[in-house]
Amino acid sequence: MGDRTYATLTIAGVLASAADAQMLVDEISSQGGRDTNGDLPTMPTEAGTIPAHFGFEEMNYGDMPDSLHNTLYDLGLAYIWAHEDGDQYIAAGTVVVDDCSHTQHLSHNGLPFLEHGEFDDPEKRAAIAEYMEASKKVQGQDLVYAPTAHALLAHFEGKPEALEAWKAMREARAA
Amino acid sequence: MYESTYASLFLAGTIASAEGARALLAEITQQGGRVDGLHPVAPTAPGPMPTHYGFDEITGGDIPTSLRALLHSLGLSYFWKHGQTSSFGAQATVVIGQASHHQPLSDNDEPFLEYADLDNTEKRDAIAAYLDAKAQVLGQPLHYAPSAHAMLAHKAKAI
Repeated sequence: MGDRTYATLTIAGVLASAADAQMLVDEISSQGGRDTNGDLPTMPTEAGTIPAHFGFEEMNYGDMPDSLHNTLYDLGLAYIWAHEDGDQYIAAGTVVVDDCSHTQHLSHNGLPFLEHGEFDDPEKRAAIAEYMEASKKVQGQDLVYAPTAHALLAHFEGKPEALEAWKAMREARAA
Repeated sequence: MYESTYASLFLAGTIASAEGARALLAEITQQGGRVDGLHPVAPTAPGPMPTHYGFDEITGGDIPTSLRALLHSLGLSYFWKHGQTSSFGAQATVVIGQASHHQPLSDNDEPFLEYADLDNTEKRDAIAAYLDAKAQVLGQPLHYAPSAHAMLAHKAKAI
């Protein structure tokens, strides 16, 4: 028994090896994730931007499976997980980026909202603003497959600080 | 195909005839309405009637057209609220006379402002008007006053 609904996953970041890409493809496939064409994800065949948007049917209470969350965390990927209404709960979204997580209930238009009584609550307004900011950040980035040193350097070209930060993050997560 | 959900109806005003009361309760019963889980019963004497009627299975959530028309013809004010399904969200409508206020509701049954509308004065005013109308309906009784005498007595009490 449960209360199942549809959920979407949008991913941003870098997959720096074939093994990383395989890990992600396997995890999404095992959870029944489909790309925007309705197909299971496949291994990318060349470096570059790859599909980053997936849909998941029948997610119990709209929750993201722990193993999917762990995979994305281990790979250092940012993401937006958003689920629709169930019978007993309303839609919600979670954005994870830069080691911060932001969760908001969502309206039928997919937007966070404030209930009457919260309209002038500065903390709640700030939380919504942060959610939207983080959401835009993920949506503004691609999911990139860069399995070689050359491809990785090309991706971070002109952004040496971002490359160093990315390396530090991966090392920390591998530790 | 629309899904079904539960709904609540709160009534306010005066029913001035036995025919009106019978028609209303027949319509509520026909639509599956219950009072505290029981079939509503026509009043036998002037006085207050139950104001809250619950409906387990309302297709699409909206108040049935025939019930809405009857409430209009009887001149009753009402507050109609329905739950959510996986296809649509909870919503509520308050009708007082010709004025109607409609709002989508959160899972706490509260009207809300979406991110893009947080500073939209018009939408905030609409929510304030909805809440005011809702409070008016919930704060009034539903009265059965089938005779001129009962009607005058009820009005005198109201004054």
